[in-house]
Amino acid sequence: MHRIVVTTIVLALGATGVWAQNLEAIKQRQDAMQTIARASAANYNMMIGKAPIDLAKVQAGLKTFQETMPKFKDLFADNAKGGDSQATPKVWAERAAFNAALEKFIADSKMAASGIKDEESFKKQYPAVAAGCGGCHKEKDGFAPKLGDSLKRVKW
Amino acid sequence: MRFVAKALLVVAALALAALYFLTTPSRLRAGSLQPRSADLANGATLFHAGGCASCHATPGQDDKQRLGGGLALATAFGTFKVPNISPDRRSGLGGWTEEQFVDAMRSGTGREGEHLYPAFPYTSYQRMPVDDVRDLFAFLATLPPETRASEPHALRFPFNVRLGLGLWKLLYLDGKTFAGDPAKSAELNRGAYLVEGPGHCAECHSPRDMFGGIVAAKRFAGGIDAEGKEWVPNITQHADGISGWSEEEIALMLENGLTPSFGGVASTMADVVANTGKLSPQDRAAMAGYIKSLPPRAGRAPKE
Repeated sequence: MHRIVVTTIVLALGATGVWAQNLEAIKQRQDAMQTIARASAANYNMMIGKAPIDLAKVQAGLKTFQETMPKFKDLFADNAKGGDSQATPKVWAERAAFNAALEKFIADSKMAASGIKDEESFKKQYPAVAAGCGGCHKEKDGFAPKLGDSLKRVKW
Repeated sequence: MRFVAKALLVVAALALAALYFLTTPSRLRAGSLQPRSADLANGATLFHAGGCASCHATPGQDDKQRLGGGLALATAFGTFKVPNISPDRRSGLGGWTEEQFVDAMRSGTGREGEHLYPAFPYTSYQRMPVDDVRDLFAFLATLPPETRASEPHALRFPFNVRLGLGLWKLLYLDGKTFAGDPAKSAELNRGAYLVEGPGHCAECHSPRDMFGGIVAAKRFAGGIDAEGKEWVPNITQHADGISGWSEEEIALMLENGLTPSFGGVASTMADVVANTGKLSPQDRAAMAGYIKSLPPRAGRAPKE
């Protein structure tokens, strides 16, 4: 009897621990994604003339990309599958390709950060960075749904 | 009995003759085009609207006006090798007559009188008036000659039999030049022409049937790309498509590749934008206006 109770408690604790970690990772990556979305929106609005171009703000956005994206490498552990998430199973099945998409986005952001000096270079170089969203967000076979569908979940 | 056999033979012979006649590539008579001075600026516009460079620029170098070809397109039918269309006399279009170029663009007929494969989107280019095609040809002649020799396609049977394309054309090539709708504004007609003709947007943004023809009822409702990998988005005014985009947002995407979901277009569409970005703002606005007017049609990427 004792043994059964102890085993149950141990199992329950274990399960809770795993579950808590799972939720935490999912929440952390969603927060990180919100940060990326906000920086992207700010850059987009400057690109299309909805907001005045502020190069300091552009650089801050590119820095946000470079600092936030690496987090995703650690936030998709095996115990962080499922849950309230739009991430597709492909993230776990094709980890090398997923990490490569992250790396490309980081590298493109870094390159743009050193290349963007004025309005002209911003307009010329930023689109290649923004194209990086499509490295994961695709309508077919992506690591995440198409951008429009993911954006519906962003809390501005 | 003997009579029936004879009658059958006659019918078969007639059918073969008809088939031969129907599948013979159509060609302009040599020298049938009257001399005319070309509008090179219009030719340049059509070059960018037509996205010629996206396929014909030689891969692995940055100059999009070096049209030596060489890109390999791996499709379900086999591998297409994009030809040299630079003005080089030996390897490119340098020795072509205007009639031959018009035949290629509007009838899908090659220089030797052979059927061209519709991987070259003449189903859209046929909408271009002859004078526009001539302006484009004149513009191409101003680009640097490239000596790289074109390679033959590597297609599977039966797709490597070009005569079959004659039948294909009966189904999918109507030979109609674009005619505007007088009830619509000049701007909307200009947009319709650029999108349906030189721009050939429907060629990628539509599903294809088993013979490789565009499914008319699903035109612009998205489809799998020619290489069978990526989903090319639905661009109609359906919830599956881009009904949430304003006309201005569509025009901006054609200018700089950014989408109103704060991302940017990638892969082959990035190549398209490299071309449409060189069009005039008026032409991009016209294209956006026409795209915004496309009837809503359902179409989403298939679930895995």
